[in-house]
Amino acid sequence: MITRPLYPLEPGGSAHAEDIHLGAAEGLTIEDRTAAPRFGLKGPGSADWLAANGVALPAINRLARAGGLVVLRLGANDITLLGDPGAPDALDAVRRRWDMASAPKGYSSWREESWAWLRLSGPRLNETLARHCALDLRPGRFADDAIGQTRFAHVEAVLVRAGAGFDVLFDITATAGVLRDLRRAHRGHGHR
Amino acid sequence: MTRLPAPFGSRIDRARTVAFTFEGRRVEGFAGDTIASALAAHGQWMLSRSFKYHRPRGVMSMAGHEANTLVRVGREPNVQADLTPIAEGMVVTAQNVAGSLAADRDAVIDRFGRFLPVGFYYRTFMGPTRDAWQRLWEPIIRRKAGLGVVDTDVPARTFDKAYLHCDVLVVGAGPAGLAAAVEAARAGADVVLCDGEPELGGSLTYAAPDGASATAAIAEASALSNLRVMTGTLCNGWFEDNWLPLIQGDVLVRARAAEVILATGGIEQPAVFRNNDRPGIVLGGAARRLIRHYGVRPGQRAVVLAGTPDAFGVATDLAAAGVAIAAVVLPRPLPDHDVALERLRGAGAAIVTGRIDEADGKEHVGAVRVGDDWFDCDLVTVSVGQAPAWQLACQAGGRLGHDEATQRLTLTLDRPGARLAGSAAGHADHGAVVADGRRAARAALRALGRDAPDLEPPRDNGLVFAHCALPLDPDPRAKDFIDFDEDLQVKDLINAVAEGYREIELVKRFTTVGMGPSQGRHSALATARTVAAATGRSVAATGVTTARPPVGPETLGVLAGHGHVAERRTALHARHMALGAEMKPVGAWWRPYLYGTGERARAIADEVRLVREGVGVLDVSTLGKLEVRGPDAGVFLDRLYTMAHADQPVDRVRYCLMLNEMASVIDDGVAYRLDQDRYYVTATTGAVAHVYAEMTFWNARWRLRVDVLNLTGAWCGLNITGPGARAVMTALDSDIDFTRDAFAYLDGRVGTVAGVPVRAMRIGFTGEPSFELHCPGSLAATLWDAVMAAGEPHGLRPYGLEASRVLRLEKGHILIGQDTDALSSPDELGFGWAVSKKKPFFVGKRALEARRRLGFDRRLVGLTFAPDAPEVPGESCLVLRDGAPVGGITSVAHSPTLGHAIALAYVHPDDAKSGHVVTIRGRSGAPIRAIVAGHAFVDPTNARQDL
Amino acid sequence: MKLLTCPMNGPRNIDEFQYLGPVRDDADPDTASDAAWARHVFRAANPPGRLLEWWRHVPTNFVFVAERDTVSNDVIRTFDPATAERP
Repeated sequence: MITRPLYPLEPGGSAHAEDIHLGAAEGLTIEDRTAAPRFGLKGPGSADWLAANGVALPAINRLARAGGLVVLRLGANDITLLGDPGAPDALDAVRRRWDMASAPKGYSSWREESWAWLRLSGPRLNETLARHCALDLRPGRFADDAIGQTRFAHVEAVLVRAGAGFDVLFDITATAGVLRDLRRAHRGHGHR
Repeated sequence: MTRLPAPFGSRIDRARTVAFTFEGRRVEGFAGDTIASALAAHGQWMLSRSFKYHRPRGVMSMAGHEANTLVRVGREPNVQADLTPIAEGMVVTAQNVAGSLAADRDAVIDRFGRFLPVGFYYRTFMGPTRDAWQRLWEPIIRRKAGLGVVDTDVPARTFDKAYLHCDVLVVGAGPAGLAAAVEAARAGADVVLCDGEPELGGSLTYAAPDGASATAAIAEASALSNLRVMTGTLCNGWFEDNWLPLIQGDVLVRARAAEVILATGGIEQPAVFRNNDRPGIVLGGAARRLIRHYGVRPGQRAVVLAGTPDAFGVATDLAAAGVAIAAVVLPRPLPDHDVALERLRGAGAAIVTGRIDEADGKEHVGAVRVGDDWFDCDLVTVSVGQAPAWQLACQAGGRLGHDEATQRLTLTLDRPGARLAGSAAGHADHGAVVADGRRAARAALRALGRDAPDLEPPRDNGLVFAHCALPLDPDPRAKDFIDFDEDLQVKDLINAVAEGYREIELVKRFTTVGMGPSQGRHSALATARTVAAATGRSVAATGVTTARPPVGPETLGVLAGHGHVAERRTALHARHMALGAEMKPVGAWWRPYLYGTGERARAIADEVRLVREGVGVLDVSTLGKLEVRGPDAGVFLDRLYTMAHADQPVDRVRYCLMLNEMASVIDDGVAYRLDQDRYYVTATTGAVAHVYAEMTFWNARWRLRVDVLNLTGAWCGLNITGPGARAVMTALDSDIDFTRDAFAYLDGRVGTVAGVPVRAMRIGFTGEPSFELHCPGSLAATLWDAVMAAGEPHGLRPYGLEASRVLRLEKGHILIGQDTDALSSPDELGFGWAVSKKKPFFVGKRALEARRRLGFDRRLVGLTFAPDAPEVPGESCLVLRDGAPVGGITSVAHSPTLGHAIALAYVHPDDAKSGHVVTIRGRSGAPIRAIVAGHAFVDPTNARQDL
Repeated sequence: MKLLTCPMNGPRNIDEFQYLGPVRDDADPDTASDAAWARHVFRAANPPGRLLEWWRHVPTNFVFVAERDTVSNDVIRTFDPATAERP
């Protein structure tokens, strides 16, 4: 039987609802990237295995882009690789090699299942971030390669820059609530 | 509605008329007017009645500094009329009046003031009988006291919150704040300038000294892109590490600033004399605000109290506005102002030396007395100096002092990252105020690591006459108010000292001075001086009371924000909705409570019967799911849980029970050993966050080679349970052999079901044959659909949380947190079997041994109730023994399987034997009999789960 | 709101952290008397002055130690006990 993953914002997903508006009309674009590929390792042996297998690791709370991968160093032994849609093979190759490898090789962190992934952009991005996140995300203060592991819209989240926008990765089960918060704050402010 | 011609009326738009009502009467103002300015333009000065004596009160500061201007707007009480702009159709009414503002029945209290002595709260209401407080006094006081009435039916309003970061936050956009903000922004810092007023400029907008103007600074401030201007924004507190709430309408902006400059200016002080509270007696600044901001002529004939040189600016504006000046009252010589005095004398004003001793007039000032002379007037302006606006500075650790030579309150602040500027720092001359703003900005820039040469402290010639301390001897006929909010007179404070309350904080608590909405803005200095004189100390030694946030009134809505409610949904949410489930919140999670429709008890019973007689499926995705992995995983679990896990075989599942260090049960679940170095551990829905934190904490101390991953949101779970469960499982397309002999109770298997990778466990909470399938969340719907399809021929249906609770109770299974409390030990729960006797250590072991030596005084048991029992107790009802409580009901439900009510309860250990009868006090108060049952109500031999 | 500097994540609002109590010497459960053990469990020292405390940065689940002055509430330093030895 073919199994097709189903993510929260897709029809039949847990957060699929008519009242959740995603659009550019009001100055904020929310792109759902939850289905985009990613692969994470965590626990003893993770960093060593990745380094030994050609993944250059940045410092903790920094990201590196290389070879079709975005490498998020979330902790000493907590690394997530985000796939580049332009080069999907790079992530698959690492994952396949890991699957075949024998221990010690770290352990899966299941980030592809645990995170919803929203990409926020648009003229009202900074205002949106300031409404939902206490972290100082001002340009020049939050570096291009910085990772913010913090709270966003009341849930724990990972924030990184994505071009002119921001990627927000957070508990997938909170997707509906986070989107509702985003929409409410956005509209509430837009009408003032 | 006649107004003064431009340039007077800088805030109003004469092209836009706005109509509202006050006390039922239609009033017209202009866009930009406040309620108070629009009313003053119509000669309506009285806005409220005072708190205690119901005296007529009106505008005094036009700056929101007093309670006099609090009115009700629509359904919102305590709106500041002197700050709140009018809006079309606004309905404004007076507060604290019985009847109407003009004819307040309680105004009679004013004449019996001597029966309401200071501190009356503490002594009057003690009698005549023991319960006099509750029966007599409290209802009266509740009706008479307090300002405004809360409308509990008020419709919801949208509030919001935001965060803000900046290098320099400048609070106050007067001359000092503007200079500071511009100076800091010019140097490239990221600057925010906030002010509660609607425009920049502060006092320059209504009280600019000759030649001074804010125009240039405002233009530059507006042009600098790295300077954010927030007008109409109240900075309402200072909190640790420069965290300041900025209230902008209905939005609370929480600012974090590397450097804060408090350019909060000064608070003009009133003078104390008999009837100093009559409407029409205003501070000099208020008269100038009315004239310059709103184009309102504040009276026809004025008496100017000229304690400081500010009075000449007031007099100039009054003259320009066409107000005749009856008299200028000089408490002391002001040597540099002879020319101005001569000019006033020439215009017909009497120049008199002395002070205002008394005012007259019923609802508005009509005359004032200076010595033996009365001067008719309908306006009195008071200029006796300012106190530095100390609230934010004192919250930040600043201190108020007193300069004996100039009789001024002084403010100092010595804290890294926060500094004062301008009048708040004690400057009076305009040039000095501006220079001090720049100096403060330079200091802030240096603290930010920027190169900014220090500036000389400005020379200030204005300080000598900046404050005029008038004598505070009590008027024999009183009504000489120090605190207008609380109707406190000079004698009240002197009496408080005479009662023995010498410390300022005690005086405050005894008299309530400074406790009203103005928070001592007008009373603190006079109070300090009065108490200092009465106790023979200096003003500095007497001090003022502690300043705390908020600086100004704030609505609870602003603090609450938009009312966020945490919400988590399992991956099967849409499936449940499609099946018509009634969803209920359980903590942050939304779970199906019940699928059936119709009569609720019957629908729940149907779902219970489904599981007992057929087969049901429950979404258990909310269960905590932790993966514990690493070379030391087994050792780690051995230390954390009471049972043995290091020797647990791979592919086996074991119950696990977690204690804290005092041996109380804090969680339970199962541990499925996936590999030598990997366990899949469940935790209860409500406790997993805590368990995850505990595991991390212990691991930080033990430093074992272990990683804990919280998979709660990532993975989902289904539990297929009932006599028909195995038939459903074997019908599934799977590489796992679900037959009885191949998959024993407490076995675990990894494989695929319908192509979905699963972790399968033979565990259950119902006592029936049960299979739990866990899978990645993105594939949960696929798995669910496959299970539903395979189960359809066998009558499989989903069941909800309530049926699940009944099923587990029928089986005598406990819920941690519901059937346990902070003291529950495994022994009290009858869980001795779950505690290893061999392990040398686990968390809580040492305390468990000690508690066993102490013995225990309760046991958790099952209780059954007769089918015809007239009353079944509710949860928390007490179990009584010889009339004394020994325990309570923790869970209770009607068992559809047994046909009577069952419960779990703590009883006395001597009663914890099957067949014993215990007594419970029901909700009605009546005693209820129950019979102690054994371990499980249904299938006590556990025969069914292995069918 | 107070800031606390996480050794891994830098300065953050203190509401991103969970307080886990003072650092205590782990009493030996095998040798401690019941009374000594009860004191260990229930009576953590709360001295005025410098105190080492456990904190957890919740979003990253990172546990570290802070040295705080319990009188002034100033945090003197924070460190990762796995890499820095306690004084």
